[in-house]
Amino acid sequence: MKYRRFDPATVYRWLLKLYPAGFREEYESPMEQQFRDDLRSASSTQQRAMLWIAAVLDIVTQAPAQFSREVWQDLRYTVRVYRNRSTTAALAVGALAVAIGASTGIFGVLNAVLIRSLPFSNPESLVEIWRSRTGALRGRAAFLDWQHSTPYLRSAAAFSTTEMNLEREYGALRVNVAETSANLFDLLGTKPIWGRSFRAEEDSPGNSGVAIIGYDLWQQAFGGDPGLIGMKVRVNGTPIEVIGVAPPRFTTPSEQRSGSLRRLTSSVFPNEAPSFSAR
Amino acid sequence: MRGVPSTIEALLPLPLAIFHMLLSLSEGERHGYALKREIVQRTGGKLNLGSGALYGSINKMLEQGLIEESDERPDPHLDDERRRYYRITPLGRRVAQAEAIRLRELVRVAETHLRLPEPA
Repeated sequence: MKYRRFDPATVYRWLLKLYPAGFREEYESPMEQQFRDDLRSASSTQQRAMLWIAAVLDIVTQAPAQFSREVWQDLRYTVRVYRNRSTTAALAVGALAVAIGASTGIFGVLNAVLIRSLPFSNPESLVEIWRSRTGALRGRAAFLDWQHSTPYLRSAAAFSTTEMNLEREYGALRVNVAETSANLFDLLGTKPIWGRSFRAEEDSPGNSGVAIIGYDLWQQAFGGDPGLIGMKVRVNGTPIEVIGVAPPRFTTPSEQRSGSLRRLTSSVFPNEAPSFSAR
Repeated sequence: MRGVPSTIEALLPLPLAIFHMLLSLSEGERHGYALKREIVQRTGGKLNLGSGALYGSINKMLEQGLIEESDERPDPHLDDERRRYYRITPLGRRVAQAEAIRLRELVRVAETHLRLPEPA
């Protein structure tokens, strides 16, 4: 059985593939020839080892330089060509801008609707029920009655979103607020990353001045200060105690569609309960 | 530099390897490996170009019009016919001259400032 003798230049030829194709096409053969000549003139193992180290270092330093050189040349050539054809260039740039904008927009919608799952545990078992303005279900008592009587749902929570003024030392900030029933976090399977969730007794009238603040609002308006937990903030003139911070990306199920960033969730139960999140 | 056309001045200062190659090619046509050996010999082994640096510089010089590939080939019995030979162009010669003048002026300044001893 005949074995082919190992040819070191084969390894070198493989390393030369790190160079850009155009450069390789021009100089691969003389470079390989030079390496063979150098290898032939190296008399000791040490010299051959040094030659290999030098060859690898040469490729590692020169190949990126050749790449950037070719890219720069291509760029200069492109600019030169398109400078002389300004209408074509404008059309190409316009077409690119439209295509990129359309692709980004379509991906944004697909990502929100089809790809990215809701940041809740078991999102597939959640349904959202909207109360129509003319519907009969109004107020806390009606909701609680409906919640306990419906045979189709394991649990239900109510929330209502609105905008309110968050008052601070240096001015008010308009923030989105969802007023919820106390069980919303439990129903969605979400826990605050800081502080605690709402307690059942906080659903009762007169016992509702607590809030879980949205992560982004916590970062933007309060600099991520953990000392905010237990402090009172004024929302529409009413002092509300911050008891926790919601996880990043957490909003109410409705807001998952609109991607609202700011959120202040309070358990001030609304007089009307326009939306139910149920499982 | 006064009296040097802007096309030449834009190429100065020349990288050391390119200046050495132009010096070698000013004596006649050479192939890449011969250029490398000559530079090693001239610099006492201090400048030993790897093949990437060597052919990268040759590529650059070809693009800048400092050298051109020679069609004349030596007798195939005397040399490997795969080797490519290069020769200096008139522009390359003028650029090498301008670089030499630039270096001479630099050495003159150094002699004044550093009070170099006269060569033996």
